Amino acid sequence: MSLDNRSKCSPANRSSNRLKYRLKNRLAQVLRSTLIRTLSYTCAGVMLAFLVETSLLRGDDTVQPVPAADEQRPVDANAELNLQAIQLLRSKCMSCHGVETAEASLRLDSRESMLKGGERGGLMVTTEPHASLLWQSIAGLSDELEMPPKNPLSPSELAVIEKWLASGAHWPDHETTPPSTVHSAGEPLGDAWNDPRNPIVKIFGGQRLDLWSLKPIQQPNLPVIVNSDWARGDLDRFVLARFESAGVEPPAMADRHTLVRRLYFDLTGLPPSLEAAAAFELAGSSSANSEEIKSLVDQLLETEQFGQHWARMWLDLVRYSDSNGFDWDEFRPQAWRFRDYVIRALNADKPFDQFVLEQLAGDELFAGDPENQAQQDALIATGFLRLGPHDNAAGLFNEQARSRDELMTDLVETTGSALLGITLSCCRCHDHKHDPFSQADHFRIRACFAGVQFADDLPIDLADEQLQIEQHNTQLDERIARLESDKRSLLDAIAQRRPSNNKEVPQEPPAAPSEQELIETANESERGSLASMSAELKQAEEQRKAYTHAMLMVESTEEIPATYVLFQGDHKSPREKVDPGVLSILNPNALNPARATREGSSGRRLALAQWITSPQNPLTARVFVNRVWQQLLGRGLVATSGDFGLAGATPDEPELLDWLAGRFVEEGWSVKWLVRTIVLSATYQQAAIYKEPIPGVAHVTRYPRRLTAEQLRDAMLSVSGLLTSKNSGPPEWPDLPKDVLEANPAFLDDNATKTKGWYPSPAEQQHCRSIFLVQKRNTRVPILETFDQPENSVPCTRRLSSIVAPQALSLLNSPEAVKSARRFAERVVASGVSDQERIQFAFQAALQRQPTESEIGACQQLLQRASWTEVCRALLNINEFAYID
Amino acid sequence: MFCVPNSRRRFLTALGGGLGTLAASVLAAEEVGVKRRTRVQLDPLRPNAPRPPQFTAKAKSVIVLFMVGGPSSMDSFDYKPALQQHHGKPLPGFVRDSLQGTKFVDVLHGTKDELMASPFGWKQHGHNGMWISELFPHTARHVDKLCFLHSVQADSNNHAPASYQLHTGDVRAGKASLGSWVTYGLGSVNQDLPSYVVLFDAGPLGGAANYSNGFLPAAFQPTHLRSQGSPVLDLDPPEDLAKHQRDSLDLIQQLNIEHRATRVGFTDLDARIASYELAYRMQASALEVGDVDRETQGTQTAYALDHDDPRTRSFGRKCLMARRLVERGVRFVQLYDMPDKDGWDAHDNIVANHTPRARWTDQPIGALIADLSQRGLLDETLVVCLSEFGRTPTMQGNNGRQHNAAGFTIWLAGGGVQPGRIGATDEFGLLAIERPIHFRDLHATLLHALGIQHEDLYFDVSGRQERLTGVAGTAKVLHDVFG
Repeated sequence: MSLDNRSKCSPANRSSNRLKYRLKNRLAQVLRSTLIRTLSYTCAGVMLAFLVETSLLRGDDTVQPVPAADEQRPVDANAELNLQAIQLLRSKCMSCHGVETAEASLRLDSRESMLKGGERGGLMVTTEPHASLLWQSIAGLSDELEMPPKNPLSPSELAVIEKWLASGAHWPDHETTPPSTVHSAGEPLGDAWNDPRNPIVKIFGGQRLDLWSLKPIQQPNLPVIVNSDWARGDLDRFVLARFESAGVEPPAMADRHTLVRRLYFDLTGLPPSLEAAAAFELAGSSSANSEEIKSLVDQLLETEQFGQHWARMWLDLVRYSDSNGFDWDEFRPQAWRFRDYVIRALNADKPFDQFVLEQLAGDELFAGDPENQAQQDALIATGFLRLGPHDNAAGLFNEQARSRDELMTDLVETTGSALLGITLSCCRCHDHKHDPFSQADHFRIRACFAGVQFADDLPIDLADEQLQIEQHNTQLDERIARLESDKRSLLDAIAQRRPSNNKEVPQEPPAAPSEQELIETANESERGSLASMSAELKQAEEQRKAYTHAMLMVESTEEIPATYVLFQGDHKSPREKVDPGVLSILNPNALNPARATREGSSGRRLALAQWITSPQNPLTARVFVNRVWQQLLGRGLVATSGDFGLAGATPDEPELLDWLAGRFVEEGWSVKWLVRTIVLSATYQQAAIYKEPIPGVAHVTRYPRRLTAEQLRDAMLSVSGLLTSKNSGPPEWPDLPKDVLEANPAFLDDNATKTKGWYPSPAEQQHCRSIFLVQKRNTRVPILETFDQPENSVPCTRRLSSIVAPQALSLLNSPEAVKSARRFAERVVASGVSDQERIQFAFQAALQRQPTESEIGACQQLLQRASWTEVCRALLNINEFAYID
Repeated sequence: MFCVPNSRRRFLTALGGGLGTLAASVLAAEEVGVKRRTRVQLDPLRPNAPRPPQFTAKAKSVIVLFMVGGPSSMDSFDYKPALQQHHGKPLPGFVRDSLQGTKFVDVLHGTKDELMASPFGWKQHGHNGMWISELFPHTARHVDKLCFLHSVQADSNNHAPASYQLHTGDVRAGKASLGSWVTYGLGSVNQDLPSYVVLFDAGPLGGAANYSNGFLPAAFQPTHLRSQGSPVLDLDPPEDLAKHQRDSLDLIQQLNIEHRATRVGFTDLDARIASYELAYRMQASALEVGDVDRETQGTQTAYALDHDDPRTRSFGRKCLMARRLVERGVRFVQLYDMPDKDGWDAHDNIVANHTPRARWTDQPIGALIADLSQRGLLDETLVVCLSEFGRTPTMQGNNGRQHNAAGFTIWLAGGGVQPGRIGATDEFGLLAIERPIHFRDLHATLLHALGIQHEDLYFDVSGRQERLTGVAGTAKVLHDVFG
């Protein structure tokens, strides 16, 4: 990589691209967010300078393991060998057999501990190296024990250990102390490639540094291609080059019908309406006209259905749910505001870096009450931190610490999974087993979140609205106080007229007569006054305005508790203290908190968020563009979209991935730009393949896909005509089978505040898009669950698509499916007079195409015995309905 | 796998009829030595096809009896003479101190410092004269067939987290449950019935996340079989659509086959065609298995189907269904004795809480053991009776007990399990002091009974190899359970 290339990406340039793009699109939004951005890029500039230096030093792509720091290398002839062997033990064995993990009571961190051994006895018989348990188990000579279990040592690595054992297995004195996983304060350290003192270098013995995903995003040269007609844009050049180098003919393009259906489902999650499909049919030929497709794409990107569909991907990643989980799975009546925020952000094409910043630290971006909708949204976005499961009952058993620990774990793991594409769950209990992440890294990131607290009672109304509400309520309160005092005086006057009847016990003050008793003794006009006063009071109470709330997280104003590495992840076993930080391999120093605008907020999360969206961190952009690619092409350029670590897949097209990630950032992190660029490519528009994958190009080939649970249900409702137009607001609750409603410990224990039960919405509101259905943790909507809607307690990075019999039962017989079939049949019957006309209409509506003669015949055959409902139900069940080519 | 069919019917026969032969060949290959398995290979067309275990094992199926809410061990199977003698006295300091430094330091939270003797009568049973409380006379008759684990521990003292951990290995929701793991590893012998069945009225505390497939494919989702009415959700269409089911299905399949003609090679389409045929067959087989009225009068009486208490009858039906299911090759059946919102959660008045619950469950469970045994099914059916935790020896509220995750009793029977007793709590039943058993160890042991090495059963989730027994690899099989 050259410095020239890199300089294209300078913050100034990027900012100006960003501005150009924005000015073209939404001037207002730019002005709003520039302030925040200016702040974040002040930091980024410093980071970038650092990064350029890093890349220069590293030179080419092959990163050599850097030996651990030992400036006073002993002159011992075997010193090199000893060091090599110990580094091997560190990288291959010590994640399980280290100081803290010590599986099978075995540690390999010193000669003494190896001689002592573990449950199976000593590891080394130094006089007879080949008889040692160490050699037997790593060389595959033992029947019982093969070590390491996952990645055996290579022959050359084995040779090192063999020689080392034979030489007496010496351990240099200064290597006996295991490296500390936490660097003490002082002089700043560099990244692991450039600074041998970086803790990651020490922990993993210089290994694991060649993880591709942590290298800076490259700006690749566009590949040279032969068949330039096929490629529509730069993206296609990468793909075409792959086909050409594999010697495979580039694929044909999908026909119009397929492409239109594909675009509708991929961009809006819904099938094209009859009218839209007909318009395309009328326009003529079977091949797609690229101008026409472009205008369709632009049109679909501007629909509100775009955000409703794409929000699902994000909600999967951030474990969105409308309930707490655990024993009673209490409903969260305000969670939907976060869902609507995501939809709004996508539809407004909020830059993705801003989107991330708001979710991690929206509260720290401004002071006081929100002044505008943008600030209000930034607050609502902190729901990201609040969405995980929460055990409301933990306090009853003195388990608040466990519950807090679970919250912290959830935040670190969700951040890793959703934003960074790495498995931080793996380094909670010990150093990561595959990746260059230490256990301390997990807790450094945890420390960024250490100050958060729930803020569900914080009003989110705009500042002037809050002022109005306050004034309004103050006036009302005064009026209420006045009325109450008047009423009291009148009642007192009535009370004084009442004869006292408590003469026998004069010491005891008489019980005050009730209001009702007094009213009974009042005269006509007094009664009238009292009644009107009461009515006025009631009216005044009702006029009180309530503040709007959401599921929020803000920083506690109390001192933030220290964060410790937890021995084996157990919150009751704290070890070393850690400072807030990020992945040590990239930056091992304590993270300088950002200057949070909100008074009293530590700025730790803001600093984390700024790092996550900064050029110093190459993961975020790569991970996100890969997700969008996966969403559109069925499979990511990195097949393991949730794991960009060493155990995950390596990118099939690293240049394309980086080109896309780099361009995405240049385009101001515009999600719509990214989606548009991909769907307008020849790569996306190719015809689907049904046969065995072709070696070498399988990853850029299109295969048919089943609709997701939500797409399938939404398509069924849309085609039948049942789909409502709901586009925001509190979730709808579908009917559940009677036996579920009558038998569920939480439902049976439902309370006055109506949080534990199930409360079906009015029938006509239930047929909304699936994104607006209530998503509880412990009770799922059956049809969505059976079609692989994921578990929502943890992030889901990729949907599965399984095929099981209960899906058939659900789509044939569930009440909503049957209702859809009936409504669809009504539409079909009303559409024409003859069977043929009606069948044609049904196929148009469900599949956006005309039926063949034999299909018409088959439908007519069923009609002789059965009803239109059954024909329509069949169409909503067939493979063609459930799959897009 | 598929030849191009020349007629629709023949094609469907190929899909349906082929299953039996395939299953048989897989079963014949079952006798294999212990070998490290790299990955469970799923046939996308038949994800629940039987897969051989790693080594020969006695247990072929599992019935889990889940006592929801935490029944008290010192009122059922863990007799504590010292507790009986020290009724009303404070818990000795050294016993309380034994909790210090353990993760169970808070289990006495909310209880009085006052020991409460078991209010129930106790008698000795079986060859070894094991003490069992009067609550479980029917179970007591089979004491010589049971293996008691007296020293089980959970990581949380609250229902849902402990219950999640018992089901999935993790106190947090989101992981895959035991039944999903077992069917993922082994598939199921009967393809016309679900492989993993749950039976309950109200289900466990913490809801469906307990028995969920978590990150495993939907093929390993449990099916909730109802013991009344239609046994499976959405099994039958409304009446007016029921008459022409086969005709409707024929139209679906004909359109599917025309659609497939230009897409040969994409096996998902074939799998989906097959799934509709299976759904159709399931209608008959699910109805058949749920029809407990076909059992003899003697059997029905044994399972308490004529009991005065409707809740006993209801649990009896579930136990009888469990036997019918494993008899037909269903791999994993999980029953919950949860007819209401409380379960065995006796924070107050243990007599009022436990007495009826024992009445609802004891006779059916005794009948299940006897019935499996008589039919020769007990050897290959592992029966496990467990709960998320037990209860404290100290009193809570008015003669109640608090949750106790520090040491409690569960039992196993059949499936190669050697009757006996393993582990022990202290003299008051508070803390496991001999052979503490973590749920991880229990899971490793249950998988072992089925011929699976727990470390080898994993699923890749975003680069992390998830296992039922956790990624740390610290679980240990309790080999002495098998004698």
